[in-house]
Amino acid sequence: MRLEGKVAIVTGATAGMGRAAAELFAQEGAKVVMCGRRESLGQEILGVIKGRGGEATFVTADVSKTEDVKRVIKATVDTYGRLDVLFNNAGIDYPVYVQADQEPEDVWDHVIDVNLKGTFLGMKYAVPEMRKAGGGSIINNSSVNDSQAGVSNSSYHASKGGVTALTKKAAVVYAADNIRVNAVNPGPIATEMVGVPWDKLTDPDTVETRLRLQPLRRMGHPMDVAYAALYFASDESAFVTGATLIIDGGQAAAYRDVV
Amino acid sequence: MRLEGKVAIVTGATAGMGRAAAELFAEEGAQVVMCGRRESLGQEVVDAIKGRGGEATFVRADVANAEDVQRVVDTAVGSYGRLDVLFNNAGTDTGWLDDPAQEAEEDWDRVIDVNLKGTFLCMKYAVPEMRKVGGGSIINNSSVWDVQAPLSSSPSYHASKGGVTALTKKAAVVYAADNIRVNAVNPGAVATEMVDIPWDKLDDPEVIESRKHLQPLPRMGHPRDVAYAALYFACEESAFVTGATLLVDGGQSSAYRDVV
Repeated sequence: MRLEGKVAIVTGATAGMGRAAAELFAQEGAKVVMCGRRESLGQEILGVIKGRGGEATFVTADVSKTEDVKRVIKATVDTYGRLDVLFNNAGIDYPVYVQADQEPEDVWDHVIDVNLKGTFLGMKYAVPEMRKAGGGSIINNSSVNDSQAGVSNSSYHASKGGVTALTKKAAVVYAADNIRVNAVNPGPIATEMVGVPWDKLTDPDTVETRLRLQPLRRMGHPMDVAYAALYFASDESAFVTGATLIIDGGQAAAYRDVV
Repeated sequence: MRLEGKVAIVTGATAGMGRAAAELFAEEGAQVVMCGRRESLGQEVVDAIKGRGGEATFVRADVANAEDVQRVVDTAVGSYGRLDVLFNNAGTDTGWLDDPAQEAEEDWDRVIDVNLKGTFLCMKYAVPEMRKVGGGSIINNSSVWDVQAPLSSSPSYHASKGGVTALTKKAAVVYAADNIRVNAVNPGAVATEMVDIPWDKLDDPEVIESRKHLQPLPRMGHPRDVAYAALYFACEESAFVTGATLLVDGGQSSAYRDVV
């Protein structure tokens, strides 16, 4: 198993890519601390992981709140004795697409707080524990929209551009501590954020609709991102830091006329 | 095993990253067709793979030569019945120099022929076979130097690797409809023969020490590091990934450095 003996935190683990990563990391032998805002969903996934023989714990937390993040890290070390992997996955978007000047200031603040500051806080409190363990791997969930723009919100773009830049900054600084920092950059993945709940992931209509969104004629599944995160989490990527990996079915590689 | 039932070609498989990938792919269940210019080294690697219970064949070939490439693809299909994975790894370099204008034209031609045209030729002959089996995965070995340059290196090497990255994206967009994915690995300072570190010196403490300072991560880049990245792209775990580039550089390209 590729994460045997490792302890991993996955934020935003109650749905989508976070849930997929928590399930996959546990399957690969990691002890997983999942966090999210929705306790009952968290408990449900915990039941799924334990039912398959995996080990996990759920902590209710909002990654934009310092006290919550500190509690997640403390629960990890108290429960499993160490911290090796942090998947900063939690992210939100404003559900209505508007022009930059139309985005309400409080929405901007909230999106930046969760997506960008949440990533900062996760690293801030995880790094001291990883240093104690002699190293670690941090994976930040950025987006293909970190450097390309379509019909989406300014705060989301700005937050993801920030996540990519922060990934590189942290990679350079923490290399000396043997802590690697990389980003996954998903494109159109079927998640709750874009209106596809977990129980519709195999629904034929959902699959059909979403396989037309990019050159590769296949739906982007949360598990696709989880596998990329697994690569960065495991020692197979021991020499990789500061990297960004696009998981977008070719979206970013394809030129399209602006519509 | 992550490549169970798949047939993979690895070019430039007699040394460095190609050798590491051939060994890893075989370990993960692929039937591997290795090619390179040095027959005796190739046979040595085939024997190593078979000794561990893996399956591999060596074909002597220069990827800059269309007939050679066709023979490699024919061997894969002839020996193993299909082609699923192509790792375009073969690459060459000439001596480093500061001024692009000083590079000899024959050096430029040779580097572009092997690194860029070789990648084109292998895709050209592999794609029809991948179409027959309903898809495939092509991994091109580019470089961290596809978009960054030090003062001293060979201009043709940079140009060839920039071309490999661009070709990767072009092919990814076009072949997506055939379910053929095309991605690139972009190694940084990895210890290989190309930078004068032979395979049998990879675990030498002096060698490891001497290469620790080349990037933020205090460790030597090992050919196996690139092989694992190629494995990720080769297997179904990257089913939704195409047109991507993956840096395997220990943070080299993320770090700002004063120009010396």
